[in-house]
Amino acid sequence: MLGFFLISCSGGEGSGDGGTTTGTAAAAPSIIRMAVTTDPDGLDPHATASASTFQVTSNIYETLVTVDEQGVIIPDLAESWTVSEDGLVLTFTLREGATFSNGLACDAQAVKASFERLLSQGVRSQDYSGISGIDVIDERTISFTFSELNVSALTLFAYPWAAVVDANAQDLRTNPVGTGPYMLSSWVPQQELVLTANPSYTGERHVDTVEFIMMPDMTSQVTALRGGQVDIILVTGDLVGQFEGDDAWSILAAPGNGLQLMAMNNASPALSDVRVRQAINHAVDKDALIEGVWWGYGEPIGSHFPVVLSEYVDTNGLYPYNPDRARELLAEAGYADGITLEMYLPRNYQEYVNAGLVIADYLKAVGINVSVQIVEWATWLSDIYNGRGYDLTVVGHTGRLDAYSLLSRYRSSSAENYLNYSDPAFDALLDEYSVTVDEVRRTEIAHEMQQRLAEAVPGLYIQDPIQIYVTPSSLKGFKVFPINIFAFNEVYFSQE
Amino acid sequence: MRRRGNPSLFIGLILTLLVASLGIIGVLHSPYDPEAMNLMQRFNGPSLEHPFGTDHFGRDMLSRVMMASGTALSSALVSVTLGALAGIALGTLAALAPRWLSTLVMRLVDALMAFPTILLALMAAAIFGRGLLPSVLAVCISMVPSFSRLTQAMVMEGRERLSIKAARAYGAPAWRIVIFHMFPPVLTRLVTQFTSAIGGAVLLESSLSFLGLGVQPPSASLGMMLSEARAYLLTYPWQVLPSGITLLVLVLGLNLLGDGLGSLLTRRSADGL
Amino acid sequence: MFRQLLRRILAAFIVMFLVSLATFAALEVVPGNAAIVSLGTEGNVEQLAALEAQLGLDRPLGERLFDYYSGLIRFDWGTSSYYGQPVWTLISQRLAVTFPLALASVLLALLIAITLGTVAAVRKGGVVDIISRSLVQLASAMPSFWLSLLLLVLFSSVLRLVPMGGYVSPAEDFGAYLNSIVLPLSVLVVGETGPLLRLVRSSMLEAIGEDWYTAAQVKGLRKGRVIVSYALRSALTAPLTSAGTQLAKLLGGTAIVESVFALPGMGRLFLTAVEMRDLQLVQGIVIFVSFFVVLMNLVTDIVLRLVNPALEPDGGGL
Repeated sequence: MLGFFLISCSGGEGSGDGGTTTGTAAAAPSIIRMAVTTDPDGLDPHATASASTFQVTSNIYETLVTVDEQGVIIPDLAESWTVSEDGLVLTFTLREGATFSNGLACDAQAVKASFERLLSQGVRSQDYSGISGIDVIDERTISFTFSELNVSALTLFAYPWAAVVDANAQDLRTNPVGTGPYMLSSWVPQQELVLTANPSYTGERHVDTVEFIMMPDMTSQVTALRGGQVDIILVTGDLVGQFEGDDAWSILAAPGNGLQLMAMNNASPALSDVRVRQAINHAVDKDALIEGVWWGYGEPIGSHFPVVLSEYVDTNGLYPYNPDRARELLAEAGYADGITLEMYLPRNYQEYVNAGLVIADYLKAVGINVSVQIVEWATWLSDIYNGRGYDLTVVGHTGRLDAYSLLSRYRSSSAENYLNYSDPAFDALLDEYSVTVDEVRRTEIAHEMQQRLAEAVPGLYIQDPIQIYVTPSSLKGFKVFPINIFAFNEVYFSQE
Repeated sequence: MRRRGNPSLFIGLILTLLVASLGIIGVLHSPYDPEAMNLMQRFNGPSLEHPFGTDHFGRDMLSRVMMASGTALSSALVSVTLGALAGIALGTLAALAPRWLSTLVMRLVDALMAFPTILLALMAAAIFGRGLLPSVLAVCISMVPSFSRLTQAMVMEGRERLSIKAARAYGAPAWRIVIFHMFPPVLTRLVTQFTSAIGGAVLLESSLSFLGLGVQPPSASLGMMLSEARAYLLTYPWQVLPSGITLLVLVLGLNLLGDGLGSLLTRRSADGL
Repeated sequence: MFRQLLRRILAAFIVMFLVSLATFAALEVVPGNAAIVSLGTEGNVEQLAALEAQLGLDRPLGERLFDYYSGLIRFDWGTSSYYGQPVWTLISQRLAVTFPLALASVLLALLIAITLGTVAAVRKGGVVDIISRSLVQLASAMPSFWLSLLLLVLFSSVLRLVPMGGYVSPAEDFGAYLNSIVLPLSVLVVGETGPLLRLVRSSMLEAIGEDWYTAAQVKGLRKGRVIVSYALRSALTAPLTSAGTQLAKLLGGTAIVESVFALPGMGRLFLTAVEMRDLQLVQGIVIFVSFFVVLMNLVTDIVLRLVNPALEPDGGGL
């Protein structure tokens, strides 16, 4: 019985190969299949904060403006924009003939309705609470008035959660209606999500169908790519060797806009002492950690700031790997006999778990006994992130486009300040940054904030991860952006 | 019937002792610290220094397997013992109690059977916190139904036996009847069930820890070692062997031991009659 | 008989109700809820409260329970908070994957068990008996997840005969479908065959030992005929009912195999639902699966009672 299946299987696979590999004289395949680990958390961009959603929805909806690979703001639904002299009013001119996939026109009125929806029921509505008025000037012109100066206001309109949706459509979670290049064709959870060309979209688009194939396991993704069942996968460092040196594959390794850190609870007794936090930083060999867990695919950081942002300043090297110095600092802080700290790690993120275990091993060497508990993601969010009941934890954050929204979680009063970091001088810098129009001064402040964090080390800042995508080398135009979006309309297969 | 040796008992005993002694040696003296990492020595194949090789953190796999086998055996023993006691108590109650109560008990047992073990383990972890205890409890609770069903059936069967009817006629109290007249003949089957349940418990515990419930790292468990090895299936496929083979040998040994013990005891009691 | 049946059915519903109440309790006890998961690391207290209100998570437990059960009575299984799709749609999608797999594995296992078990019983102590019993021991000691990994290494990584996971629906490409389920199917068959084979062998031995079998042989009927048409028929009750129960359990119980082979089945859906604290979906799956487990238990009891009318219903007073 088994034999029969195997024979019929290999036959099936062979014919499958013929259909998917390029090189035949026929037209290039008109489908791109990307392997992803999880389903999106619904397809309503206003109703979630999940990166897995935005990677899909950024192809269904458009934002007023968007970013290029360097994070520079470029037109999207709006073809141009102006900022008033006092910086309080942003006026956008919409692209002519923009139409939702249900055939309705996407005029200024529709954009207004979409932002009103975002403001009233979006999970990110807080970020947009500075908007005091939305005015429709004419069919293609809309202006947003802010109650106070916010120098990074324009970037607010580029994030995928500010996508323009048809506010009158029902149940966007499963029936998305946008103006983007694609629209939803079918979605079978844990299996596949298929997008087809949106006929009302007139911009650049090379491929008519985009499939997201759910494959939780990285090893299955690799074999699926080799077998021609998918075209784009995101791999971990250990698997790069499987493709290196083979012309059939192209490897795209670029620092993403994100950062990974071991957060410390600055309110817990031992960790409120800066010397203990410094000792922890001295105790860990960051390069070995990155090599051990990420196979070297990461840029070490010394502060809460990804290297890809223009305001980044290198703060590495303040606390080099030095176990003796770590023991000294612990003794100075009164912990010569050692301490026990609780570390919680999110189970769904194997690399954070691995990093935590490696760090725990380093800390043991300097007399810090770490008791590790691996918890489910939901538990982690509830008890650690929201409940702040922990000493140490390893986690990652997705990047933002400007220093203010990235660093505002370190404000003493911030509800997102799960590290319980408190520094009045830092709070003052944040305030100053948000109202400084002069770019040189703003960069200075951003540097100063990074420096303060790097010195006070509220966490052990590990790295800006390098994302490694592997595709067949015939696939072109796939780009990695500093925010969680993909632009599949720019992807195509070359005919060489 | 031809009288033959009892190869199941013999082989089962040897296999079980093999793994058990690994676990015991591990407690007394493991070759390396099973939790100590050495990032320079990752994925080393088997060698004289590391007979089972090293894992993705450069930890000695033999030491980890030793630690894990000890945990697997002892936690299975504890959870099956507790589960069996609870199951026997419930089963006896169901057999002897008034009809409404016994129906209630048996339906509760049914519900327990239908309730997903994973949820059970998560719930236990939420209530009792970290470590081995929640998974021991979850395994223990999932052992209850089979023991209570068996006990109930046997006690009801036994109730009809002559000696017991006689004891009742003489006015012996219920507890006396249960302890002196009902249990001895039942014991054989319970012992058999107990031994084979331990194999099942080891498997269940390892599959829970394969899913990440149970023993917490850096401590080792066989299921966890397998789930760690899974990430390197393409690059270092042999990583799944040390823990997997140990698990197979242990469960095989325990099952054979259970079978062997079962046939030994039934033969004894058959001879005795 | 009819009243008894009615009582058993009532009891079955009570069991399901108990299981689903326990599920509610479990999700109340376990930290985190759907709103927290949805917001992830970018949320704050106000957003959380708003989303909880939107999902109805801020209402008292009693009210939510009432809503859920009154919906269930109208066959409204609710909507998954994570996928935003009706729970029933999701369950039926999974059933299309899990049910054929479970059914095929139980049927194959039954076929192997009956063939080998009968031969083993008739030729007790013979080669087939010894080999099949050793295989049974090996199979029932084999951890399914380890076997899955070994098969993946061998057939996917080394021989590259089948993909390393993923699922193709049979409607799309039947060859690729077989390709995607052959390994998980084998793992399930290995797991199912052991207990069934034991059962077939022991009940065959019992049947052969009975007087009428000897009588039939004395009368000179052909041995093969006696075995197939008499002994096997009476010996098959136990293995068949047990296969039914195993099938019911498989509908919800292949989580590990499904997640190793990346099959979009019921078990993986359940794991994700628990992870995402998707109460409606967890409830739906638990109730659905426990319905089948309870149903199969009921059928087993009835069949056994029909075969052996001497058995008393459980729980007669002392």
